[in-house]
Amino acid sequence: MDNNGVFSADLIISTLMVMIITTGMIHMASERMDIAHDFDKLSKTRQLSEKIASTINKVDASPGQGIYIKMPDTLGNSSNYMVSVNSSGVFIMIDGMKGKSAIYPIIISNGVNEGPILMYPGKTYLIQNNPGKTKIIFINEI
Amino acid sequence: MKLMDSKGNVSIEYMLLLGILFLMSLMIATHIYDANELNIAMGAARSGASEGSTINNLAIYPKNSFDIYENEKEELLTTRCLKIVKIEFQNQGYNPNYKRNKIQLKVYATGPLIKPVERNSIGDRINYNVRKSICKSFQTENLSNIFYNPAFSHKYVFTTADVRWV
Repeated sequence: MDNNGVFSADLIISTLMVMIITTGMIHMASERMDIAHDFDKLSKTRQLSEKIASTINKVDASPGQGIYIKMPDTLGNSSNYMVSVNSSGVFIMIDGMKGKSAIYPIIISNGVNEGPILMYPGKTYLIQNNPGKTKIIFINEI
Repeated sequence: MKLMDSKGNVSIEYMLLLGILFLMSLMIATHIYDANELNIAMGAARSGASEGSTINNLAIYPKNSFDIYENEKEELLTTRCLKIVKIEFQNQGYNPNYKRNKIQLKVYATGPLIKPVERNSIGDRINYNVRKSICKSFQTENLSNIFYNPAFSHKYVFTTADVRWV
């Protein structure tokens, strides 16, 4: 600013340039943040399904063994997820997306019904091998 | 140059200079606006490609695609390692059909362990996410079809070539 209180052309042009660059950068940063959130959510989803599949395979190897699994309340920023386990694998659904982790083929039951066993956010489940002769994996909510 | 005389009148030189600066600013502003739009589109394309590769890497797909893959392409349901190398764009000039400049995007990706039979589906998903990201950035989803092909910005129309595997 000069003595008369008038802004210099340099200041006005540089402010304009900074504003244009900042606008572009904010836009790009916001998109990157969205991608980071999505990546976080999907990678946690994959981790959970692999963890459940790996637990089933572990207890499958030892009759009578059981492992507790605490389902997280949220995956990334979403609590809208559900896991379904049947003899072919662990299926996980989150916000319209779906993934699968394979397991060794085995009968899955909750003690009453065989077939897809559903697991929900925030609940704890016991995944247990049938101590009897028939090879069954029991999944029960605690 | 004297800005004002003792009666408060602005000098003619100052007015001429101001006028020229104003015209120059208008021309530069138009150019900056176009460049900024292209810059935003390129950023969106990179974001889309990254999102597409994440979905492919983690093998977590939209439910409809998952159901199709489960029946027809089960090999796509396992995780894989895929990287986006670069995205090139080629200005193909003014397209009278769309009344916009047409730009073709070409994504280069690498995934040494990905089988050739999987590459089509994976490449299509990357391109779909690139186009979708551009449409979302400019809120032009309503101008395109369900595959966002082509994708529109305000002054450009974007198409995608097949993903090049390197």
